Amino acid sequence: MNDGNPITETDDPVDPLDELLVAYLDGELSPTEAEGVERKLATSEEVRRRLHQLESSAEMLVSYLPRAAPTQAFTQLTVTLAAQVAEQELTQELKQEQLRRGGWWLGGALLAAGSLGIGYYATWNYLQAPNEQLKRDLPVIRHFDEYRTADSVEFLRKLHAEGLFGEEIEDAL
Amino acid sequence: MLQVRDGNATAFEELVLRYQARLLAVLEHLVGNRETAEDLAQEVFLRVFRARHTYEPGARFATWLFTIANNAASNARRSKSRRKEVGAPAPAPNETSALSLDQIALASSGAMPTRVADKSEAADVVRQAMESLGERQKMALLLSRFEGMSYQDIATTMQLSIPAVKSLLSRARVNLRDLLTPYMEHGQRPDGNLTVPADEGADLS
Repeated sequence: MNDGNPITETDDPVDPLDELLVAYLDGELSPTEAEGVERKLATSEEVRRRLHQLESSAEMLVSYLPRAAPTQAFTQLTVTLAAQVAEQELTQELKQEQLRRGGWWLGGALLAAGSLGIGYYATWNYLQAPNEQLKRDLPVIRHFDEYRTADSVEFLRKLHAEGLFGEEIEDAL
Repeated sequence: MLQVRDGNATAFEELVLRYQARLLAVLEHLVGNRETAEDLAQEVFLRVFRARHTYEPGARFATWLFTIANNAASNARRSKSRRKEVGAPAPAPNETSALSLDQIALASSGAMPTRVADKSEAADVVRQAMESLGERQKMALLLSRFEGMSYQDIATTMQLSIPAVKSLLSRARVNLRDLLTPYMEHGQRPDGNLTVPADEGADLS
């Protein structure tokens, strides 16, 4: 007998026969298992009594547990709340769309600024290129007359291999 | 549900109309309070509405609905426990639709101006027995008896294995039998009070 305190979820294990009878009443047994239960029912008054009690208490639950009908106000309020949710979703979507568009604009502007920067740098480099070439060629230009006296590049390489050139000439080579 | 998913506004109203009574019945007995049950049911419907784009046609809608209901009820219970832990005052007895043991005893003793009718008394006894069960036993029992769900569907709804559901349900049914049989056979209520025997009052067989 329950003394009014809630029954906990960790009660002792249920008698296997009761578990079997409940599953039988719920139609959750295989045909073989159901036949086994029916054999027990046919031969045991105790099993029949237990089955009847389980069945009656479940029927009492379905028959007597009150089920109040929902009010119209409940339905209306639920539908109204859903409409508000739909509106919020729409507003949110519009905001996201605006953010997406804003993002595209920002991305486009950054891309344009980046392209401009790269273009400027490339142009500046291109314009600086002749001067850089002249700077690199300066040692050769300085000794241009001496180089003209050499007959062949092969001869100059031999001189270089023997370490006869100064730093400036080596740079030029 | 597919029409709701595709943005049909009236389909959602039809869905609410079709399932609200079933959902409220389960939630009311699960939380033991009509007002809380209505709030939870609304929350469940709104969750369904918000998640409509993720609904898969293969899933049985009732199973999906009661899975959300089970989660919502669990969250509500946890929130309630936390509120209790921080010392919030417990709801006054008249805030719950379910009668307390004292009220039921008073009603059956004849001290109330109008003694409850036999049918009403039986309903009180059943409600009292239900309230004595653990939350998961109650949920499994309600899904099984009110919704006619199979063990497989209950397992999906409550995120349990089938053997766990089998064990939970058999424990719930045995507890219910132990609580109700004395009343059915001898008119003895779950709180220990004797009352009109069932065979002299409501027909319980």
